[in-house]
Amino acid sequence: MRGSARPRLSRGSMAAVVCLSLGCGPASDFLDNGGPRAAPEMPPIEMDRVIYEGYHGDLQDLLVTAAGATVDMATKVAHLRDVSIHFATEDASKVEIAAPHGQFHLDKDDFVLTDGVTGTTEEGQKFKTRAVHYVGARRVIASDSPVELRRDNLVLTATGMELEVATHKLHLTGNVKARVTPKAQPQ
Amino acid sequence: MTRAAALACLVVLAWAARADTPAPAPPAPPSEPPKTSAEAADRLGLKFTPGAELVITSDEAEGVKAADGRQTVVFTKRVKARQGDMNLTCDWLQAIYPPTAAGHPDKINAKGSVVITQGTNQALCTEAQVDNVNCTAECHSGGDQASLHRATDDVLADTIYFDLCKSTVKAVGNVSVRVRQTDPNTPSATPATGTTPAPAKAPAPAPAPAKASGG
Repeated sequence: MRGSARPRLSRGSMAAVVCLSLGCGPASDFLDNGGPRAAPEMPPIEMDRVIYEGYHGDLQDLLVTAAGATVDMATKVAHLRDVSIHFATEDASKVEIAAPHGQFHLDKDDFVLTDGVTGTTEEGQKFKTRAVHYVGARRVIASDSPVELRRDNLVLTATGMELEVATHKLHLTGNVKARVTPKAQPQ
Repeated sequence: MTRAAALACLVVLAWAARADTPAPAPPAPPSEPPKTSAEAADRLGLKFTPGAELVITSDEAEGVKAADGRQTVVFTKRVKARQGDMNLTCDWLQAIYPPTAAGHPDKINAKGSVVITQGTNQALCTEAQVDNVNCTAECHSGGDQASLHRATDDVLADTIYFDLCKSTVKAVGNVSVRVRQTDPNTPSATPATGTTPAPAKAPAPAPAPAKASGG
């Protein structure tokens, strides 16, 4: 994670995290004759009720929660289930995205959410798309799938989007369509 | 019932039925060119359709929240906007939304090959601003002139202002209004409806500014 990322896991998965950190270490074991020996392959690690906090300096800028996770130690990818990610922005507002499935790259800040992603901002803007990926280095949520954004009676659709988390700057690409439907008059 | 009474009843029923039906629309006035710039301007006005859905399409868009909380969306590349029967095309369009809610944009700024079309009226300029709160729009072209066309009528000016609720036009700066008479032998593309035939006109003179005013 960005800065000093501190994973905080539930009690049931603490032991698994210890194994995980051991498994991440370099394979520097040697035989008596000095030749390299293949590190034992770690089996996938199952976790429940995963919480991951990301910090940028002292400021927590990322909170990942998931109902469960399977960590593949060979690829160092955590496969998350029922995942929700909260981003803190520079103006202290929040962006939240959720999806049934996610992939979190343990050795990067990047992740992918798939199978129907929904997102909200504090201004009440909502978006949905099939999949998004987060580029940690740029703090950008991007989608190459058709996206729909709604705010009040404004509906924006496009074939792709990029959202800068820090500034809420939204870039829509391909067949952009904005529809403002008239509000129903009170009777 | 006697035959005379039945006939009387029929006449009364027919008269009553005629009274219930709306009066037929008066025949359309003959298609004559406007005689004054004010008349030309009235015919060239643009008008919002209240309650119509606003649709903006483009190849790309960027949404930014300003420091004052106002959300703006900038549409670029092949921009088209439509509300009711009014269409706008341009290269760049900025929609500025009120701070409290998205909804209908308060203001729309358009740049680059701006064309606003409604029916047979067409305004052309390089920059246009639409104020949805005040129901106004203005069209200008920097060093060149903005223009407004309808069939054979043209208005050219440095800036053309529209009242989109009253459908009136005000042209300011180097205004010229050009009215060209149509050739009576040429069939009209949009024939007038009604029973009164359009009067025959003299052969069309060479197009020339009919009147110039403003400044």
